[in-house]
Amino acid sequence: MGGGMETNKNKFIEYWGSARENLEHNFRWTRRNFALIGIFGIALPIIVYKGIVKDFHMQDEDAGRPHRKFL
Amino acid sequence: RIRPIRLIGLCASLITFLYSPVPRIQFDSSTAKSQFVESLRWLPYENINFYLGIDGISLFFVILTTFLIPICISVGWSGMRSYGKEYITAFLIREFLMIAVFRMLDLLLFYVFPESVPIPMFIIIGVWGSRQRKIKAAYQFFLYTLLGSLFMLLAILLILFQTGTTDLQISLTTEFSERRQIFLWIASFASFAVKVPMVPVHIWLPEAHVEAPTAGSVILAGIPLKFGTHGFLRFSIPMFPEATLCSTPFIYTLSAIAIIYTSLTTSRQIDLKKIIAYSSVAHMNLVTIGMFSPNIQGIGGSILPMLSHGLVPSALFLCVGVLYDRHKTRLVRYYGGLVSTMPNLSTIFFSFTLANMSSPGTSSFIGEFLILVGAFQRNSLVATLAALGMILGAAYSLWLYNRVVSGNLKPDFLHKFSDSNGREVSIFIPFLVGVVRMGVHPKVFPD
Repeated sequence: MGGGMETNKNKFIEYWGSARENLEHNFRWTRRNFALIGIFGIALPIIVYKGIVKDFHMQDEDAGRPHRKFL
Repeated sequence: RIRPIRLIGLCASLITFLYSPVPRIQFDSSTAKSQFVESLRWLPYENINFYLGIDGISLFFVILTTFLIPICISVGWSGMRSYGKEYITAFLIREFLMIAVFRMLDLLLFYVFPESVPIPMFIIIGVWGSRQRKIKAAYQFFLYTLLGSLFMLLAILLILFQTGTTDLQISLTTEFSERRQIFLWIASFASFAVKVPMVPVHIWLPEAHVEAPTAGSVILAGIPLKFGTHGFLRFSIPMFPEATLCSTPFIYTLSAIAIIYTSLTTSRQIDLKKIIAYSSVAHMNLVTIGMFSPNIQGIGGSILPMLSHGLVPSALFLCVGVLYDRHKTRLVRYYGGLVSTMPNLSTIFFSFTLANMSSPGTSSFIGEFLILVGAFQRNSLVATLAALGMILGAAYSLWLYNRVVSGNLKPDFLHKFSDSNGREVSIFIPFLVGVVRMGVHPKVFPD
């Protein structure tokens, strides 16, 4: 491929891109991050899991069989 | 000296591709048994054989593998000036190993071949990757895969201890106790979850995709991402049915969370390759939802997105590769208004963006529709969440396209342009044909 088409890189965009790429280096266990991880990493998956299991149990009740056991 | 090596590699891969439809033509679709079986005694004292064969599922994956390798060699044509011989060798060895993964009928090969595939990929990323970060990405990719598979090796050894053989057909007919099934299922899940990849062990994929060369990303998106779902389909689901039923809500939860979280993450990305990589995670987790819906729509529907996913993200990575070859950046911020300067690429990019969104008429639509139908019959909540993921998929795909192709040019950053040349367009054409063919007439694949 012929050269001469390289981007004129902007140092602020490059810095921003680098910061976004290395988010884990700037991660700190603040109260906000604790709350976010607690909600989206633990609470929400548990709620989704319980909702899915409840859906299965409702099917079992409609079919007149005992609730299935899951992990 | 490089030119004859490149030509030999390309010819070898093209010959393999031209031969690959022969099993399709000779395939007897009236039987469910494996065909074109090859068996060699490998470890005779342990009754472990080198046992390969093709069935209706693996047939198309073998063809897909042989289709992608010549494209990868063509894509890396100019990049092969450094270590060209090694480049060709790595891809051809990879081709052999990937074909063997889809053909294996022995349990120990279920560990050996999928774990051998990351070795040439490690070299491809580490040598031909674009930045210093490639070393970290290569190690991450390799170690994630290996650590997950160690548990799978334990599971295989336990099966060998119980059954006395690693023959897959015999193991499929063996009845394991429920407790043992759960243990073996969890052990194999550790391996396949990394390969799918499922949240939270998916981090290796965006890193590997970004740091790999274009050809490496094409092949990584095309074939190795199918190993996890292929493993579930071949190993976990048929061999441990009770454990599969017990763990269905767990898989549904992980997959639904993965689809929504990675779709939202995709929309936050600023690197073109990372956007496509995260969208791959969402698509493959939709496939696992279909696979764990034990009905014909779910399981049959999950095969089609697996095949489609071999074409669409690979083509999208090629589009990004075209841009990167010219402008040496993947940050979305620099791009805009490319429709006026690169109309050919814009058209091609739009076609594959539609396919990534699972638009009707493209390869992904029928499969994802069947998956949703199958999932809805099983559990309406997970089908709703998966459908939400599809909407988010359309959102980030269109947003990506708009940012890169539409709008105003950014002359501050990009001042010189060159549209896709004949070689590049000719590489895209087979992908377009495949996507449209699968979208318009997908019947041949489930049949």
